[in-house]
Amino acid sequence: MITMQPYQLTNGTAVKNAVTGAFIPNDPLNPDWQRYQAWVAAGNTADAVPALSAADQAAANFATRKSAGLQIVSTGTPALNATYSLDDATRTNLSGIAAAIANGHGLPGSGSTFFFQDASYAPHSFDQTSILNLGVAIRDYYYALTVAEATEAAGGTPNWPTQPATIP
Amino acid sequence: MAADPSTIQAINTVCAGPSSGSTGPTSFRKLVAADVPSGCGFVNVLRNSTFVSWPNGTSGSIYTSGSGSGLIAANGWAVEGASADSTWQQEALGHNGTYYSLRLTGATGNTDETVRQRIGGSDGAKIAGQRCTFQAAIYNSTGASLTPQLSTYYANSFENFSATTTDLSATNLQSIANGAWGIVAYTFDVSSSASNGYGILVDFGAITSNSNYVQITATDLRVTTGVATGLNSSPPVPELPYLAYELERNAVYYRTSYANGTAPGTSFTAGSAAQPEFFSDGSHYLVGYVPFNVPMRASPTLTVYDEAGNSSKVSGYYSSAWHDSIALTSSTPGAQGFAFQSSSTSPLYTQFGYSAYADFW
Repeated sequence: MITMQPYQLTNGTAVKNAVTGAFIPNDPLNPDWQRYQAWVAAGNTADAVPALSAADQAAANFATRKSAGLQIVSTGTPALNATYSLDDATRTNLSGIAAAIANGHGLPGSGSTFFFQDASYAPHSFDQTSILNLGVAIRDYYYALTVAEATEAAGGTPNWPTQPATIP
Repeated sequence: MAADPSTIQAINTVCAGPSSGSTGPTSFRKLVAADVPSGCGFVNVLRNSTFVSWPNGTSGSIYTSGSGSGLIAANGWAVEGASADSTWQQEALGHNGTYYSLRLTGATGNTDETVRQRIGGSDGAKIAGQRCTFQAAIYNSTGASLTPQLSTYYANSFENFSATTTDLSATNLQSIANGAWGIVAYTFDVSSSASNGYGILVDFGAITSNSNYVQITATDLRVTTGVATGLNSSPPVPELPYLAYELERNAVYYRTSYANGTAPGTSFTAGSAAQPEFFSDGSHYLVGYVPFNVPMRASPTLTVYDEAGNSSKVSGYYSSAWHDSIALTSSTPGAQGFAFQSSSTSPLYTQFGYSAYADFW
């Protein structure tokens, strides 16, 4: 039988009171830390840092991949090669541009090309076709991330999408 | 190095005014005892003597044993009894210059009820090796005459009360008639080891009915050089700091994000301005820092609550609604504030309540 200890280690220097959920800092003047030290001196050992739940692990994997962005390789226009952000603002922006094109409103600035920034804010010149290609690549990659996260959170084996994504 | 005359002038003006004191030019005359009216000088080493700070709510159970913030009734004042059914509560009825008092109510089978405070080394150093007087205003509603007892002790090492030494053994204070307020006071010599930290304990004995109770307020412990030891029938006017100072002073030891008089973990309305709230982009873990307006005595023990009162959880807003029980994966409490990280990347807004405890229990 596993006996739960009254203390649990954390990823930092604090320990956690397993009953109250309180974080006890490593400070010799803190009375709870003084009691923890006495407890350890008596030969006791705190429980290890608990493993993440499937949902938390899936969220962590999703967040890592989302914040990394998507590397794009263009076979026809190498100048577009870069890593583009997957954040909400970027995806919303791409959706708006695609909708404007579909409605006959053209590109931002009403020219034949416009500048769209990558994740490091470097501008790249896109025409209507290439920006739609970028939007589709990001949309599909992000969708694959959400599917993989949901799969892992449910206890399944996720199929995390790979990089780079290739566009014409 | 000579004192700045303007500083002396300022002290005289604040504490006595320019017309009193010894003879000589006002700007250079020496400050004398008559210049210092009662209450001027931060002489009372006990805190929350006016019982204005209530971090654990305004009522609760009196535990028979234990440690930590659960022992605290009014800030700085730990209560302990020999019956699990006895209770404490705030009373909006003070005495001897206070508005509030701490009430301890008895219970069947109760054999003892006590009120205690521990002070740290820097405050203890003020009274170490000095002749001191403790006083309190106590209301007796026990149904009979009451003779409280006072005992004191010091920490064996600096601000570590896991081992203590008795300084004043349990000593009878003045008797108080039933249904009356009384001022109890006792003068005694404090050990030089009080600079490690010092504790006082007022013992009311058994209160054996839930219709019987005692109240305590207007507490004071200060140096009273030259006063005879023993029961003191004419203690000094207690030093009772003003509200703003006392609230900030007590936050050095025990603070919460909840309103004064509201217990940590009490539910709140998510999205309201009542608790700390943070914003993220919904794509990354929320990492934040909550600063304290004044540093705490030591890095505090930290407990975080979501809006429903679940400990070690936070509330987050996503999918057009607030959600509870989002784990707090790490927190690093420090004397100046605490950093934290939530376990979910989903919330646009994250909100929580907290308690931070660095008292000596």
